[in-house]
Order: sequence, then C-alpha cells, then structure tokens
Amino acid sequence: MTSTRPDAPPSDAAEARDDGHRDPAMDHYVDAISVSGDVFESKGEIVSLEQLAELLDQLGSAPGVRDVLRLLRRVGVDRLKAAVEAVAKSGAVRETDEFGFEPAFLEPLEKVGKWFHDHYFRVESRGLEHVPDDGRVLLVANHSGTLPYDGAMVVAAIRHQHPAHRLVRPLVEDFMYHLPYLGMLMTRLGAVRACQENALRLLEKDEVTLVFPEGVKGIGKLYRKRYRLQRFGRGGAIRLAAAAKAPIVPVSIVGAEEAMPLITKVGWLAKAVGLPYIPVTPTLPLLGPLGLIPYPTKWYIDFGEPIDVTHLGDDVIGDRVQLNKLNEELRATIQRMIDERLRERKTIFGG
Amino acid sequence: MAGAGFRVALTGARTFFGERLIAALEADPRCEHVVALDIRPPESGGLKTRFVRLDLTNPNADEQGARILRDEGVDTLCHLAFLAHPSHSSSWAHELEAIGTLYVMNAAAEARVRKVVLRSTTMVYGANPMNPAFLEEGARLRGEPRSRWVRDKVGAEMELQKLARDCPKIICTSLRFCITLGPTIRSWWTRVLSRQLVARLMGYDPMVQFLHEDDAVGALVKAVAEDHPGVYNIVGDGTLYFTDALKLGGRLPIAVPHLLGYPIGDALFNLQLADAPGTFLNFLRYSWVAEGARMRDVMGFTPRYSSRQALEAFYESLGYRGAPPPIAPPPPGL
Repeated sequence: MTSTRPDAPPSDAAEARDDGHRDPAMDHYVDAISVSGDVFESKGEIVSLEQLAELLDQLGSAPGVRDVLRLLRRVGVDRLKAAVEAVAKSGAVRETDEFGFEPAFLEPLEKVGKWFHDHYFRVESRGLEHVPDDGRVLLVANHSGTLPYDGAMVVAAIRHQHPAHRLVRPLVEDFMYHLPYLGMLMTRLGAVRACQENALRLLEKDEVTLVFPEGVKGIGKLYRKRYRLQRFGRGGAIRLAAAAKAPIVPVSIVGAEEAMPLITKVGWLAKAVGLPYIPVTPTLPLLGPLGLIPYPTKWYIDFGEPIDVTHLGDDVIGDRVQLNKLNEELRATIQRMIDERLRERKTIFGG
Repeated sequence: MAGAGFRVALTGARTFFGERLIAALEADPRCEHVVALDIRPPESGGLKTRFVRLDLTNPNADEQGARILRDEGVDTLCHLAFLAHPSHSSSWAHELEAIGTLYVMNAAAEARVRKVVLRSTTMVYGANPMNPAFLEEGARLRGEPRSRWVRDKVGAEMELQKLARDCPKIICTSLRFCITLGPTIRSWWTRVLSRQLVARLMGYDPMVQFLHEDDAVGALVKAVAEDHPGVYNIVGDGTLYFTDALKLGGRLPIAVPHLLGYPIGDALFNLQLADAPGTFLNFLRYSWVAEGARMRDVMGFTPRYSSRQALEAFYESLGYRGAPPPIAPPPPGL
C-alpha cells in the first residue's frame, strides 16, 4: 500500500493517511461519497492553524497529487460540500399531483388571470349552470387568438364565476412539450399534453377537462377566417367522452379572434425553432415583446347544453362513420353558438 | 423433479438482481433448487444453489444452456444478465444482452422450461415528448434510438415476445423496472444520484419515479413463485419532478442548454468522465413514467416503498455505504 511509494514517510503519519482510499478505482469518484474515516472526523469541525500546519507537515517534501487532494478534503472540501448540500436542500419539495400540477405555482397567476377576466376582457359567461358541480365533464371549445389566452379565460371563468369554483385542466398541443420551458410551465400550471391516454386519466379522476379539438389549425387561423371553425381533429373528443362516460359541454368563445388578429404566418422560420408557426399581427414583431399583449376586446363565453354520449358505449367507438357524424354535429353546435353571439354583438371592443 | 418446490435457473447470477434473488430463493421454502448461471460464481449462494459457468457471449451458449436446464430439471428460468451501466465496448454488450437473450430463449425453448422471467426496464419505452404521462405495457417500445444499450434491452424484449409466440406453452413474464434504488444496488442511475453536482437540461424538468430494490426483488420472487404471463411495469407509487428528486438529496443541479448538453455528454462519456453518453440526457428531458396499475391489479403486487420513499431510503443509505464500484465489469478477453 503506502510502502509502494518511495517518498512516503514510514511513520504514524503514513498510517493515518492509509484510510482505505487506496483503490485506484475510487479516485474516479472523488466527488461521489465521502466514507473514509478522516472525512467523517473532520466533518463540521473547524481545523485550527496548528492542525493545518501538522497536516502540511505530514505531506512531506514531495507530495503526490493524491496527498494534496486528501489534504484539501480534510481541510475544507467536505465542509464546502456540506454547505452546497444545505443550499441545494433549502426550500421545500413541491407538492404536485401525479401529472406535475403544482397548485402553489398556479395560485398567484390565477389572480392575474382574474384581473384579465374581470377588467381587461370583461368576460361575460353564460350557461355556467351546464357545468356540473362535481364529477367528470369534457369542455369542448373553439380555439382562436394566436396565443392561448382563450384557454386561460375559460379556466378563470369557471374558477371565479362557477358556484363550485372548479379547477379546469386544459389539454395542450403536442409541440409545447418539445420546447424548453413552455412544456415545463404548462405541466406546472396543470395542463396536460393532449392525447387520449392522458385525457382519459383526467376524466377518470373526475376532473373538468378542457379540449380544443381544432388544435393549431384553430388558434393559428388567419383573421380573415375568423369564427369559421376548422376540422375537429379525428373525432377524438367524442371517442374520449364515450370511453370515459363523461358529458360534453360545448363552449363558444367570442372576442378572442380580435384580441390578436393574425395577419400572416411565417412557416419556414418556425420549423427551424420547433414552433408550428411564427405569428404576424399588427403589433407582434413590430413592438417586440409588447406585441404579445392582446387587445382589450370584449369577450363572451357561452356554455351550451350538455351533450350526452355516454349511452353510445363501445359500439360507436368502433363505428367510424357514426363517430364522425357526431363530431360534425358537435362542431355545428359550437358554430351555431358563435354565430348567435356574433349577431348580438355590436362592437368588438365594447360588446 | 419429484419435490413440490420449484427449480429455478438464473442467468446473470452475479448481477445485483441475481445475487438478491438467489438470497431470497435460498430463504424461500417453496424453492427447491437454484441453478446460478454466470461467468463467475455468485456470493449469495447457499445449500440450494449450484453454480454452472455459462458465458452468454459464446456462440453455442444456447446448446450449452439447454443441456444445463435439462440436466438440472429446471422449470423456471430467470434471465437477469443485463449490464447496469452503458458500456464503452458496445459490441461486446450487444453480444451479451441482445444475442445472449436470443441464446437464452433458444435454450428455454429447447429444454421446454415451464416459465421464463425477463428482467427489463421501463427505459425501453424511451423518453419522448409524445409519450402519454403514464405509459402502459402495450405502448410502443421506442427505446433510445441513439443508444445501443437501450436498443439491446428492446431487443431482449423482442426475443421474449418471439418465444411467447413460438412456444405458447411457456409462460413468458417480463418485468419492466423503473429506476431502482436502494442501499446496495449499483447502476449508472445510482452513480448519477450519488454525485454532488448533477447535470440537468435547461427548461426541462420531467416527472420521474423510483422503485426500492427490496420491491424489485419482491416482484421477481412473486413472478417466479406464481404464474403471471405478460408484461408488467414494476414502479413505485407517485411521481416527482427530477429537480425535486435532486433537492431531496441536496444535489446541486447544473442546468445545461440542451444543444450543448448532448455533444458535451458524448465527449465526457468518450473520455470516461461521464456515466452515460449524451443521448441519455433525453431521460432527463422528456417524460417516461410508467403506469403500475397492471402490476397492482393483475399481478397483485404492491411495492412497499413509494417513489419518494425509495429515493429517500437511497439517499439515507449513501452515508453508510462505500463508493460505487468501477464502471461496467471489464469484458472478458478485452
């Protein structure tokens, strides 16, 4: 062991340093775990100058790298590590649900959402009584407005206006989860990536689940196509509601289209950064980040009569034509709700 | 063969799972005989255990294996011979894991064993942004396309599925363990979590889940003692954010932008300074949490430790155990 090195002093000092750290493989893990006796001894105690001098003395005239490393560990590395560990441990581990939803993170943002709901968009919600006080329900809404402010307002409307103050779990477009920060943010806020498995799980936990079947086609449609509903995916919403035995509540959102009117989209640049499109609105690239602020349009959110697909069962899930028919009917219902509201509306900003 | 107890053979007897399973079977009165197959004898063998040397990288390992299985009158074969660390000699690892499994399955078919149990991992699902929040057993095995180590594990699963198809009489069980932690197990995950500084990717924080090593062994014993054909995710209850998992142990996360992380990871691995190549950062980037409902409801197995308890037990034990052993055992003949 120590005797293999010619410069090692043949005294007690050598004994003291021979602490079982002789396995060369272990040097690989200098940062791994401190287990040897001397490290434990020095942990947390202040090494005095005399002790330091003694330690330096033990090093001898031609110390090897390993001896110096060990001295460093004895003097302070382990204490430094303890300090780092204390810092890293500070702050509580977050309380989340199994998806990663963090209520404490949402709470302050809900206040912001409420302000936007009450004072900025002056959202008027009707038919909230169609959303049950408990139990599973699938909200199906039209999607528009370049950025998903519409989702946030549906969440705020049910949270603050509904008698049961229920928490809505929105399903979010796939691409968000490819991007740094955005996916993490959505997960923490309680959103879940839109897929049948995730949605079914939410409904089985009796959550209010919000889905925008139009997806990117809806939120990213140009201003000239406003309030014309796009294709409702492949009928996933119907299949989901039938499988989960959940009622569907159709939701129409009016006002979001004009909050961020999309003039055109840049596709080629978007592909390079992993976004479905880069929006161009009257203010967006022009004013920089300020362009992300929506215009204070007057919003109407209508909750329609619940549609019951629970009786359909497995037969309809297998019957593709029937499924598509129901899907089209659902789309027509929401389109009708939008058209009615648009007829009533006199001005975009004043309602 | 006359006894009522079961006669088990296990490959990879010298692996962590092998050693622990042998110890558990030695103590289990239902077990009559254990045949330990590996290139080195296991340390935990007792009176019931017989060691037979079998090198799965041998081209005739299937013939040899079949002979051993028949001679010893084995009814249950546990295939546990998998590396706990991504190996630098990837072609040797491929021979051992993917081709070795082919030989083991061939031997099982030839010797007409009653049951085959495969030790697999939930990493075979691959970390992908398109994964549902909870992966069920039927999900596609995307693996990790750029990692041969994970692809070999997927290859092993495929071999088991082939065996199940070709020999319907053989009960084929695959147990997919999530990150298994505990006082004694060593893998590249335990090494990563033993470090004071742990790399993570900027802007990504997936949910992770853990399993305690006792529960892993418990599930293996249950699969050996009872018949549970099919695939089961063996996972601890609950999930937690990766950064919170680090926080519980007082680990300092080093956030790396993902564009830099992959090349740096690859370079560090090639210099033998990192535990795994850059592509493994995907497991710290996207979700690959597996659903344990089938384990609880169909197999009737409930882990005693939750994800968080398993992790805490692991961190607690670190102070008492020595530094981890060197990276993958040196491949013979290299």
